[in-house]
Order: sequence, then C-alpha cells, then structure tokens
Amino acid sequence: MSEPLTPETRLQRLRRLLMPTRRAMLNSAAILLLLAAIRPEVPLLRPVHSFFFVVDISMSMHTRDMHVDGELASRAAAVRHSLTDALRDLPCGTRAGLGVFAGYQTMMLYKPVEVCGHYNELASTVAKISPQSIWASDSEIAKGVYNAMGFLEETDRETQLVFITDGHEAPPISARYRPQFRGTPDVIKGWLVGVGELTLSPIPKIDDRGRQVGVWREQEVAQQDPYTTGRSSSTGGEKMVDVGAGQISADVAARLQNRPGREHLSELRETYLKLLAEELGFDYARMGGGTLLAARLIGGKASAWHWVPTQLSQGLGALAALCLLFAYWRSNLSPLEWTAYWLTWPWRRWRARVTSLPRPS
Amino acid sequence: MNLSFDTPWLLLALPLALLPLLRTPIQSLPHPWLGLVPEDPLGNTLNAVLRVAAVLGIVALVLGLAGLARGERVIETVGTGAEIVVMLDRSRSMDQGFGRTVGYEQLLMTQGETKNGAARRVLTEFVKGRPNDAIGLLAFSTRPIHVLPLTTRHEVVQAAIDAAGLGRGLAETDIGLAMIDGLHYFDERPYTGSRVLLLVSDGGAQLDELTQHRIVEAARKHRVSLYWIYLRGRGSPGLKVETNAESGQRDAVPEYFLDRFFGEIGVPYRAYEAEDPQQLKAAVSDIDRLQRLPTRTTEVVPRQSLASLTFGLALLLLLPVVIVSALQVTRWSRSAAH
Repeated sequence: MSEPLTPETRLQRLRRLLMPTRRAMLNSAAILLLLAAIRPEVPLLRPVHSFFFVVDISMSMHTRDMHVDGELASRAAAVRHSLTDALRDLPCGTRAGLGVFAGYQTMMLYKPVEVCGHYNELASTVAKISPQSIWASDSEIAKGVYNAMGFLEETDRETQLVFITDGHEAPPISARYRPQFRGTPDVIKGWLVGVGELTLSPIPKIDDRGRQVGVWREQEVAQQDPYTTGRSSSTGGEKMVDVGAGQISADVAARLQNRPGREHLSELRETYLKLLAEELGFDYARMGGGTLLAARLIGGKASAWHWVPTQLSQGLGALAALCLLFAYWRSNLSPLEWTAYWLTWPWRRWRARVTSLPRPS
Repeated sequence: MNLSFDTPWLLLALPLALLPLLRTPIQSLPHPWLGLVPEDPLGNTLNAVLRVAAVLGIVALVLGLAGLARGERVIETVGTGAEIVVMLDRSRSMDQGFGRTVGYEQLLMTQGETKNGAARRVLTEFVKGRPNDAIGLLAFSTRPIHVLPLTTRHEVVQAAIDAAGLGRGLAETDIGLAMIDGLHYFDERPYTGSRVLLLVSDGGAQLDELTQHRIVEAARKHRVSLYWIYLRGRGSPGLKVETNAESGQRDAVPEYFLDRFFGEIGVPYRAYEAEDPQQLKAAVSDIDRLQRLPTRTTEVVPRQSLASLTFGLALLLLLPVVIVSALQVTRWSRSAAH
C-alpha cells in the first residue's frame, strides 16, 4: 500500500533516519566494543622521547646518605632503585640507553632501545650498575658529561642525555681552568639529575671484594685543584705558569662548591650542577622516586615527533560507553537533544517547582 | 596476580552499572490497557537475565576504560639455543691497529681498523650467525662491567656491540677478574648442555694461583666451553707456539700462557684468530656441535594491558541486550498484534 508522500512525511522520515534510536545506539556500542577488544593499532604522530641514562659510579657514589624503602642506602643503590622504577614507568615507545661514568670517561653500555620490549634487559643491567666496576678512581664529572654529549652528537642527536651524579668533582676543579665542552653547543639536550643529601657525609672506602674498610681521610684525598696545589718540587707548592688563563668570576668560583680541607666528605653539589646545566642549556632535577623522575623526563621537551602505532582501545571504549548511555537514558532524543535536555534540567525543575507552589489565597 | 589501573579515577563511573536496573534500552510501545497483556514468565526471566548481564557488562566496560592492566611478573621461558657469555675487552690497547703489519706501514703510521673495530665486526657476524642463542655481554678493562644478562633479544645485543665503538678504551686489562665474573653468569641456572664463554681480547694475561684455581673450579662446575677470539695486534705474537721453544720461555708471553692455561682446565677449549674469516665461521658452527638441552630463562614481563579481556567481556555480556533490541517490535504490526 503506497500513498504519495507529502513534504511533511518526507521531513519526518528524514528526521527519523537521522535521529539515532536506542537500537542504533546499542548496535554502535557493540561494534565499538568489538573494535576495542581487537585492540587496533593506528599510527599517530606523537612526541617520542629517547634518553641516554649515564650513572656516575665514581667512589663518592658509595656514600650512604640516601634512603631506599626507609632504609639507609648508598647513592648508587638509590640510583638503581629509582632508575629501575623510572624505566618501568616510561611509556612504551620511549627509547633508553645506558652508560656509566668514572674517571673522566663515560662508557656507553648500549645504545637506546625501546623500553617496554627490553625492560627485562634494562632492569637487569641497572641492577648490576655499581661503583665496584670503576676503572679509574678520579671523578671528573664535567668531562664525563661532555664526553657523553660527544657520543650523542656523533651518533644520535635526537637522544637526550640524562646524567645522574652527585656533582662531586675529584680532584677539585680550578675556576680558572675548567674543562671546556669542545662540541657544538645547543645540539644535545639533556638533564643533570642530582643524587645525595645537601649535608656532608664521609665516603666509605670499599675494597675489591665489596667490603667496607673504613672511610676516606683528609690526607688521602686531593683537597685542592691541581693548579692551586702546583707541581711537587723540593720547595713544594710551586704554582704552574699562568698562560692563557681564563677570567675568574667570583660567582662561578663560589658555585663550584669546592671545599678545601673537606673534600674527603661528600654532599650533593647542587649549585655546581645547576651551573653546569645552565651553561649547557640542560634542565636540572633532583632525583626523587622513579615515578617522579619518569614523569619529569616525559614532561620535558620531546626528542622528536614520530608516527607511533597507538592503541585506540581506550578511546573506542569511551565512545561505546557514551553510546550505551544514550541507549539507556533517554533514547528517543538525538545526542544533541539529550545534552540540551539534561543541561536545562535544573531550570525545568525550578520552573516546575515554581508553578506547583500553592498560591497564597 | 597484581592488577593496576592506568587511570584509576575513571572507576568513579562504576555506578553507571546500576543503569540497567533502572531502565531498559528497549523502546516501549504504548498499549491501551496493561491488563490485556498476558502474564509472560519467559519474558520476565529474560528481563532479569538481561539486566544482570548488562550490569556486569557495564562493570567490565568501566574497568576497561580505567585501563586495567596486569602488573609486572616473572615468567620462565624455554628456549633451545646455546647460552653464550661474550666477554669483550674494552681496554686502551684495543684502540690500536689490528692485524699484522709490514714494516713500512708502521713507519707511515697509517691507522687502519682498530682492534676494537675488528672485535665489533667479528661479534656482529657472530651474533647474526647464532639467532636462537641466549647471549650475555660483559665488558672488561681493569674491572669487569656487567652490560647485558643472557638474552635472546639480539637487537639490544647489537646495540651494546655498537656502543662499544664510542669513546676511547678505558684502562688496563684484567682477564682473571673478568673470567670469574663471566662464569658467574651460569650460577644458579639449570644446566643446558651448551654453555659457552667467549673471550674477545687482544692479549693474554698472567694469572695468579688463586685466580687460576677459582677459574678452573667454576669452569668445571658449570661445564662451560671456552672460546677465545684473539685479536692480534701489530707486532704481537700469534697463538701458534713454535714447538722448539722451551716451556718456561713460552709462559713468559701472556698469550701463550693463557692459551696453555685454558687448554689445561679440562673443559672444551678452542682459540680462533680474528684475522681469518674461515676460523670465525668455524667458531660460529662449532657451537652447534655442543650437546643441546632446552634452556630455561626467567624473564620479567612488564605490565600488560587487559583491554582485550575487559572490552571483550563487556561485549559478550551486553550482546544479549543488543540481540533482544534487534529482535524487538518497534510498532504494532498485524503480525505482532496476534
């Protein structure tokens, strides 16, 4: 039985087609849920981070002024703990490489690899990072940082350097003859992460087998930088020739945090690390828990933008939930009408109350 | 099993699960008088089942939205390859030139491939040739430096080999300490039949009695095969000992000493010279000859999202409602009126 359609019925039919019914909403929810369960991966342009973590393993990292799970622990142990947590909390797709620093050299253990796929290896490597494997007893931190920056400049400029250290230079550096970065400035971005307490603590002396055999004493440690000490001669303390000496600013000299006479004790030299960070255009952060560290690193500048296969489950699930909501709540309305209906609900409610109030007679 | 959520605050949406108890997503039809509608026990049961299923379905959906994930755990994986611990020399001397030189080249001071470069080239080849093996990496100079645990993910092994080319060599060489640490890799691991300690180094070492004793003991206990890829530097002796040399003289050369010491431990031992590609191929295939038992490795599995499970379950539980809605009568047609 077909009647000729009048303009009104055509309009009504169109409205009915456009207006999602409960059934349509339910069907959409089911389809969206199915997609969410399949977990499709779609490449999205997203910021990607790549980090090269370098851990200072010089002897001052033995200093026990940190806490792990409420227990007193060495700086090295605290770094192992936090770094493992940080690696776990970095989002998948982030790349992380590892290295250690001692003497005046950074040694790269491995180039950045994807963190989720290689979490097992990363965690195992971090667990074995220890000042027991040092190859030199000095701790020329600035040189180590420049060294690591050089590696990245050479091979992988997208990767950010994350240098975890207590900032304790041994032997102390002279304000006049500070190590200079010889690479191109501002190419490598990065972080200096400070570890340790701001108060002085003795540095344990550890033997080959990992047993503590006392602490470092005043006479056993270079208390002044080699330039001030001068070369050893019969008269002693002969100054080196001052050729090409740089300008010393009193401010910089103070910020080096040299402590002649107390160099055998160690603290986190935050002022010095901040100075270094300023000069290199790095960020400085104090190492807290691993989750915090991961959050700070990810919150920083992205290394690069890449097309990353991204899980869409959550988004699809949220859409499915919305459809279900429409289906259950007020289904004969379109989403727009539904929103308007609920937004104006308080007003309608108020009006209804006003009109239903008993009139004073 | 420890569970966690990516976005726990979304769990606040859990009360939405009560929605099916209050309403149905099925369109109601006006009927003049409900008294005319007959009692329908089947319909009532169906109604109850639908509501309960929908409640559970929405719970599953909200759990999925909050990002339910299984926390990290340790699992045991079984493989079939060999277990190879590579010990890579990172000492200063590795920065020097590799291979034999003719006299005039030394005068020209031409720096060809370094020993470090040669070692990386050789190891890369080696790792490519052993795709199914678990490989661990230990770098050593004055002290051993643990780089990688035994792993079958060779991408990271390659990343470590590449990283060894950056910067200069570190310091001295202590092969004794490195050997002991390398053998520690097999501590408390079930015996698998094919264990190899692969030393990549440019020199030998004199080992003191105690160190010798500890190496012998550990190597025998773990039944490890020793392989030594020797990188001959310019002007250094080879491993081929002239038979007419006296034994005392021979031992004065660290390479000869180490070669003899390894040979006398009582475990399979082979030395290869890195210069000879044929010998390297032999090194790769020699490992195949070792007895092979399944290897067991424990592995930490990172957090896994349970999105498939939660959303799949939600779909399954909400499907009855969807099906009923698809079958519903949207208007009183003639057939439905009967």
